[in-house]
Amino acid sequence: MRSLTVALALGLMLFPLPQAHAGKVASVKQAVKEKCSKEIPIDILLASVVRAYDCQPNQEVTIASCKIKCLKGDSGNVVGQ
Amino acid sequence: MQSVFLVPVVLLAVAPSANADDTASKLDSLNDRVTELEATQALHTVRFSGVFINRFEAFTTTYGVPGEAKDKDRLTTFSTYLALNLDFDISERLKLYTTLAMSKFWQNDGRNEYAGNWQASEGGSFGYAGSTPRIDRAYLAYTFSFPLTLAIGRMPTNNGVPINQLDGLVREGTYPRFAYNAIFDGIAAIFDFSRYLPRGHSLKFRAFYTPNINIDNADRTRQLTDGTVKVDSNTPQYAILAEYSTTRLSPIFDTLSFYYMFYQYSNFYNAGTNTPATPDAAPNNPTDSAIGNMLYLGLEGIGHIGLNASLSVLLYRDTSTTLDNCESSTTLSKAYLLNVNQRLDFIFTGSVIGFELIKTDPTFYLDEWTYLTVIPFYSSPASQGVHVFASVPLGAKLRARVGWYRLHSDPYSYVGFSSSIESDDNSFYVQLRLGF
Repeated sequence: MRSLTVALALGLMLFPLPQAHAGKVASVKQAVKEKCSKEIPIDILLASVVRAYDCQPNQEVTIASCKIKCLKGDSGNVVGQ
Repeated sequence: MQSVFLVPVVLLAVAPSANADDTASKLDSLNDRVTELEATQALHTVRFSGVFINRFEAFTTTYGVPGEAKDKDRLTTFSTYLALNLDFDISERLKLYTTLAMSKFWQNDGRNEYAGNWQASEGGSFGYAGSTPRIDRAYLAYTFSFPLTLAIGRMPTNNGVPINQLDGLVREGTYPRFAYNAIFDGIAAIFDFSRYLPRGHSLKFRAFYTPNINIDNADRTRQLTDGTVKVDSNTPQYAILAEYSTTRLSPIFDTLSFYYMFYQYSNFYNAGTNTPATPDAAPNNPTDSAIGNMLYLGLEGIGHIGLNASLSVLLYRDTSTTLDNCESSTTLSKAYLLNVNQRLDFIFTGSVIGFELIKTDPTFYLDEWTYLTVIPFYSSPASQGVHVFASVPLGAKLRARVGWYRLHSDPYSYVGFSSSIESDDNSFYVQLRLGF
């Protein structure tokens, strides 16, 4: 278990996640926290990022039994949105 | 991007068996692979999306001069609409948005329902002309570090609020649909002051300059001519849209939105009303100068039970003048569109039922060119009507909607547009929409 933790920490230090991706993970985490007042484990969080963004805007997406609004953003349909 | 998740996972897998000698080589290998992924992601600046709609509509209209025998037309139609979006992230701040689209009735190609060049431009691919695609969106947007975005090109000024609520979607167009439902080319400046307001409040101003270009159809070095008059090649048209919304009325609503739009155009040559006159004859077409004031009040999540309501009001003044300035008349009009819908997430997530009511003056005019219904529900003068609809998702990206329109229109008359008939229209439709 200890070696797993060290490897994970080493991995994150050596290969920091790109900023855009980090923002998406944080956004999902924040959305779940705001909607359902709960923290979700990192493995579920990482597995849920694609689902939270690959959806129809304004539709609800279930992440760890918590329904949040789809996080897909600007599609260019509104000028300057 | 998914591959990036694999890095810690792979590390987790290899860590227990790793020893000091092979760890360095594995890390080197991982480093190469992650670098490759990052490079691929950095170069992956194109986003692809689209909308695919198939419709069935059964439309009947009974029409005629009041007090006389009526005629009746029945149309049973199937149609397809496809829009493919290609959006390019040129840089973090500079983006290019494009849409290639077509609409057609089945086994029917080559229709042309636009009388003039400007209608064809504003309608884009929505005229059921056939399978030949048209560019409905092609604009460049640059977002500054301060709250300003500049845009230029062919912009998505159509399909605005509250169209999106029929399918429970987010806003899908820039201008409110009861101000304009048409595609405009031009320049826009958007000022977003939301960052200076308390959390939960949003304030934006969008300014548009969309001049109308008149030019000879065959010779680009010649002015457009109608009889004895040479038409101005460039007549001004602009719009200002102020938007305020708040989510800080928590006990009452989820969101309150208030939009005000002002638009004006001057000396607009109304091509297509009539065929231009031959040289030396009196001109056939008028020019229009108009001012529009449009208000939109939208309440979403009323009582936090998924109930939404919006009211759109259009106040319009038009002065129509013959090209030789011999005759002029001014008309005023007002029109109302009420949309009420209820999300039924507690029964079936994403489903919506609702209704719309419309009432328009005899002098009502709306630039309504980008619609897929057969029934001219939103653009008919001297009318009152109702639209009832229900929409359900079929999976994550597919959605079905059924609805029924009923519209009664009385005779109307003002310069440029007139009708001596009254009509009663009914339309039942089923629509399948894929958004991807």
